[in-house]
Amino acid sequence: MVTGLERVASRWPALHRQLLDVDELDTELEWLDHTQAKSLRVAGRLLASCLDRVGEARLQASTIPRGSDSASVYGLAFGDLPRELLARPELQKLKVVLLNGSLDRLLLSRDEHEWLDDERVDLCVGAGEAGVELPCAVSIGALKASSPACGHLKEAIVLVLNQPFQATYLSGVAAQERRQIELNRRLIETDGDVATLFGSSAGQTAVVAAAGPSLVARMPWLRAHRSELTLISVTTALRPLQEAGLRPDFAVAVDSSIKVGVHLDGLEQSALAELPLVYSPGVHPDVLARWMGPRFAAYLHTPIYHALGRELPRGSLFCSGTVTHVAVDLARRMGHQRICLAGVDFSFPGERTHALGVTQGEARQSASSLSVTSGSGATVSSSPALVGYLRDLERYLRSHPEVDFINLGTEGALIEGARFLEPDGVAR
Amino acid sequence: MSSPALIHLDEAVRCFRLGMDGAAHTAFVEFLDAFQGELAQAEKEVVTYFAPRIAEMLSALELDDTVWVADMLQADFRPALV
Repeated sequence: MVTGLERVASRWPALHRQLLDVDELDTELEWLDHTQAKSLRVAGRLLASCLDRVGEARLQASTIPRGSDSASVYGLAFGDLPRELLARPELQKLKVVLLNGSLDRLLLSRDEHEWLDDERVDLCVGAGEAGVELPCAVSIGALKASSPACGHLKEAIVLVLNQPFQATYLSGVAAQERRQIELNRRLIETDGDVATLFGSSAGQTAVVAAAGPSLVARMPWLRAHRSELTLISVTTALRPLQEAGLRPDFAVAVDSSIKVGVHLDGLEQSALAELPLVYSPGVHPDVLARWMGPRFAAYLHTPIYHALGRELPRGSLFCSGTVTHVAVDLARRMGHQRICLAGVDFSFPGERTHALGVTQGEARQSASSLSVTSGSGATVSSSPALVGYLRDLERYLRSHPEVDFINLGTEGALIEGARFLEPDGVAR
Repeated sequence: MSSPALIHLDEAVRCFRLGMDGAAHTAFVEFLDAFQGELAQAEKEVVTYFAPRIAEMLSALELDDTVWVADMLQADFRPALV
């Protein structure tokens, strides 16, 4: 029998040497030989269906449109997916990207992988890949078993796979926002314009408080420096801040869900009466009706506000899916030179979704397809949506080098473009 | 006509196998809701059969072993719904 590894040696000698150089697989393996199909559990997760491997590969191959002359496959597993695609005569080129050298060496040495002799196949390792090449199909079991060296590529693949779901979700949100903008029209006309706040804090320091689990650990620092800064809080973080004895200067809300009202339950009425709210007009009318303090309408950088902006101009703020983006952009547009991030975790440090004190604060995140590197270098679980928000914020920070962004915590995701505090705890 | 539980099951299996975890989890929760509604009318032996399997799927989800969850949905639950 000619093994897959021998075929690799013959066609891709440099790649073969690379595979021989990787460390031995250091994880628990369990070979399964069901009547339907043989498979393997890697670190407790199935590499491929043990019910119908070919059917699974056929479904995964279906993500590549018929008639495509080139395609990429991410993840080797047992080779079912490339085999399935190579059955298409119109396919001229198939790039197969290995996601775990140690595991793939083992798999290639056990089976024939005769498909590797097909001249249309190009084989490479994922660690050096810059991004996802489309159209692509993904062996999901192999993706979940990918090595840390392929972490960036795995993240990019997960974001591509989940993009349709995110788009569907956002289009549902947009439809709700459109309805609520119409209902809020009178308020937009009579409330303040966020543009009147722009430039009002030139050269000062702001803290944007989001409701990530690490917010609680930032409270002592926030209390110590409260008088020196503008505190801008997303509505989700209002209750934890109140419990820590902190009153923000501004609250921000953009979520169209009526559930935002839950963030206001239990808040001291006297504090709310003076607290200005910066909101997008897509916020649920009941939430706005409950707000006792001054309100400032802000449009978002999304298509649904373009037409309204011509008719009823208001200041607009950056948003790519999360209120945190809006709060950060508000801080910048107000003129703050230094913007500190508190509880901006984009992940689930301590396996929590929110800071204690938020209604859902105790909820534990169980299944998670993505992880990120935290500020302290640890691996922390996250979700495709949060990682997407994180990358969009990083792009935003890169586009504003004039602002000094500081991440006050290291428990959450590392945010490129935001430095950490000086060891003495001063945001200088 | 397919039952709601079967529709959600098929969607969960498809999405788990394609790595569309957000959509898969949504469909999975909808399947569980619909299926448990059907279980409420079922005989005790049926409930006894499925309860540990549901627990096993939830444990597999905690490990992010979604391929196994898809296999279980197809092998253990789907035949009961068609």
